[in-house]
Amino acid sequence: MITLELRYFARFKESFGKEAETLTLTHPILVADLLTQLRERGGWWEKELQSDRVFRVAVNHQVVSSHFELAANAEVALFPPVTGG
Amino acid sequence: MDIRISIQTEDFSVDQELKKLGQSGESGAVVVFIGKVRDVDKTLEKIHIEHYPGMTEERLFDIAMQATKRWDVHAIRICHRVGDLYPNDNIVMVLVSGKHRHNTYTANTFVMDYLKNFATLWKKEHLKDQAPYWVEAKDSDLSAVTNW
Repeated sequence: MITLELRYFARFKESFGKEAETLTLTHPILVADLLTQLRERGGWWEKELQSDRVFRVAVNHQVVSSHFELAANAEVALFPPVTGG
Repeated sequence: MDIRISIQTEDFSVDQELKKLGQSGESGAVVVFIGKVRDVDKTLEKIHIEHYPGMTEERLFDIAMQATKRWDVHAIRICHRVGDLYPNDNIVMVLVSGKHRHNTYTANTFVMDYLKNFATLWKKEHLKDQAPYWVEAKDSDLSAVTNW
């Protein structure tokens, strides 16, 4: 079993109504597969994570592409483009 | 290399940061950038800044390291505030010291351009007569990075 710690920031945290959750999977998946799973929840998940929307995925604090494979215990963060400074 | 990063709710003091710089006399230039909360139309109540603890500090450290590799500078200090901030409050300070002013100015600008695109910070604006909203990233900030 593979456990992923998901974290959401800024607008995503409000849209999804949560800032973190734990996901348990039977086998490793790619970031793209995770996004597909999350979109299937419908509502804001589908809207915010549409493939034509710009957002970032970071795994263990590094921004990754959709082809990245998620290993056990990865901290996966989803967030909109940054706006600091 | 003297790199220091801090993410904090409280205000920062430029005077104190200047005093913490190396006293060896090797630096001939210090450039300080301070970003502040703007309220041009007098409609802003406050902004709220959120960040990703851990990742923000790591990204800012990486950005500072890149700057030290590209330009001959001695010290970089980045301080970014989070939480509720009000018009005219300080948001961010980037302080760079180096041997000569051209490198020091350039490294400071590079750090700010990269901070605005890669540091995991998000700004929410609370206007006086509107529901609060998350600020959208600007294309002009991204083009600033592609120019380096």
